[in-house]
Amino acid sequence: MKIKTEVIGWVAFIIFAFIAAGVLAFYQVPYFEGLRIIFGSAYVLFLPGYIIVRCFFDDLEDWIEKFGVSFGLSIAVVVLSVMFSNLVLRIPITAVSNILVLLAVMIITVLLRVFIYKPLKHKNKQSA
Amino acid sequence: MKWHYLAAVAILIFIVSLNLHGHVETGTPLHIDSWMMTVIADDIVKQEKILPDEPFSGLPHSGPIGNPVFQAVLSSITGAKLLAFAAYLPAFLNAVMALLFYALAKFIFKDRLAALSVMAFQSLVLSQITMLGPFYLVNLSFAMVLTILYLFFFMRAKLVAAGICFAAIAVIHSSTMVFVLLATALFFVFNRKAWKMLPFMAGVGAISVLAFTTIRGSGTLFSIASEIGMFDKAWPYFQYINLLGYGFTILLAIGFYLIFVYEKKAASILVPIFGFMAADMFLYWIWRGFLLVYRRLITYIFLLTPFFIGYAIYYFSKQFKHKRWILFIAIIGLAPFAAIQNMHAREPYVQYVTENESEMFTQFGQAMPHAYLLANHLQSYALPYYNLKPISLSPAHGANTTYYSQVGTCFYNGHAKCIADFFNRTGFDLLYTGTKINVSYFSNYYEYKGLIIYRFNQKIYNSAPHSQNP
Repeated sequence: MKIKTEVIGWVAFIIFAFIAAGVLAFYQVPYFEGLRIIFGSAYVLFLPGYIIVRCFFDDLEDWIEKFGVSFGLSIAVVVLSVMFSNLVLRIPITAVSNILVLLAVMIITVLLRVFIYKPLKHKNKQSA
Repeated sequence: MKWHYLAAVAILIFIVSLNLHGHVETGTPLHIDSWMMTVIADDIVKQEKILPDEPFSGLPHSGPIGNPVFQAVLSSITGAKLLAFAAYLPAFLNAVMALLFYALAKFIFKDRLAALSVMAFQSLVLSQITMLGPFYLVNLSFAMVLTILYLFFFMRAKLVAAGICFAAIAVIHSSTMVFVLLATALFFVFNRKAWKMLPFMAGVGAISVLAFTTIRGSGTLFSIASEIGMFDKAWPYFQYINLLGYGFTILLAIGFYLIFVYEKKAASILVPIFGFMAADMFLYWIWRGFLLVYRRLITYIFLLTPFFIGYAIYYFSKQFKHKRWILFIAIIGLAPFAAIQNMHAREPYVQYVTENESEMFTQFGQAMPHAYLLANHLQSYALPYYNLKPISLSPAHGANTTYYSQVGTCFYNGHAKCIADFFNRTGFDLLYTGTKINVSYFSNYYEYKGLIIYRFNQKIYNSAPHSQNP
């Protein structure tokens, strides 16, 4: 039921994005540029934090809390990851590299959840 | 749909509308610091890396650059223009802050209605701050969001997440980092049961020392430690004004008492920090503050007030049968007054670079990329955004003032000959001031909608009698 609600939410967002891009076209923003702005904004402002919330803070019952924490964590993660990748790893700051850096952060988050956090939690429960 | 979601959406719409007002009409950043962050972000996008120096001064960055890095990433991925962010991002950040106020308040008060009340009063109370407040896309706007998020994770003992937030704050705004460090230390001082988390305190302390010395140098750190203060005393740029402000102050005091008496969990974090900030502000008023003398940090005392005011209103509404409706009526009744006062306090909106000037600089920068252009300090820092190199005719605000000692006083006193001598001596030849000056030695070089960029006319200079009088 929970996953179904989430899928509905994402589908609704995608539909909204296509409609909003159409509205932006009235303000002389080319359609595909409008789509890029909307999906790009979600990718930077929401997705990294949301992955972390889904992996480690699924106990948040309220969607207001989930959205707030997701947006806030995205800001922190984007700043830290890109500064680290450029200043330490010397990865240039371009559209493609930024997308890949954030994608790497999200993948690492999921891997940590699957291979370290979940087994650790299971182990703590057993010892308790 | 659950009622609290509808209420939250209404509050968010109010916050976004309040913050967009002024920004959308003007189209360019309304604050010098906001402009500077935009220029640094633009430099990062153009160079595809973080450079150690500011593009408008050639000097090392004077503070952390997390804000421009974030803007650069957002611009590169979305393809959106950076100037648009100064208009829309503050509204977004304030909305996120409201959501986080709800999250933190719900955890410490254990009541959804109290959380909504705090969320609503975040928009009504915080919006009273004008200069450097959350209306502008300055570092403080990002740092405020992360501060509430940090406190949310810290109170839930999610220390890894809190550490990530703290690290992000450290690379975004040094003053906020000091505030958060102080808040964490105060929590431990007044909550012995939390001492098992003390290693975390050591961790954030280490991060802050590392961040501070990296960004500002160890010299500044030692001078702060020795003088227990950073900056000279100056009148704070905030306006907690008029009758509504006095009303909020009374509610703040009532809320402080109620939280202290009835809400142990909330009191454990809010009372020490707020008490300390209030004592510091009082000392700042009568003498000078300690640790947090920097006037811009006083904004944080206002960051905490929605908790107290929101709780006070919630507590009174709780005494009635229809508490939900009482609370909503109180908020809806106050909202228009707070909104009007907020917008009034911000006006007039100062556009340091008007839309016509922005268009002119854009075209001129395309026609003559990397040309040196002399301009006053209120505009010269913006020139790198337009692919131009600034030379500032007046000091302050960080643009290249290398030549100020040679030409600044001439510009202020309107000595045309003195200005011409400077141009002749240095080889610079382009000037824009936006105001009428004596252009005896200059020709019109580039015109756009009545705005003129002048060019030094060597022939006129060479043929003029070289007397001492202007």
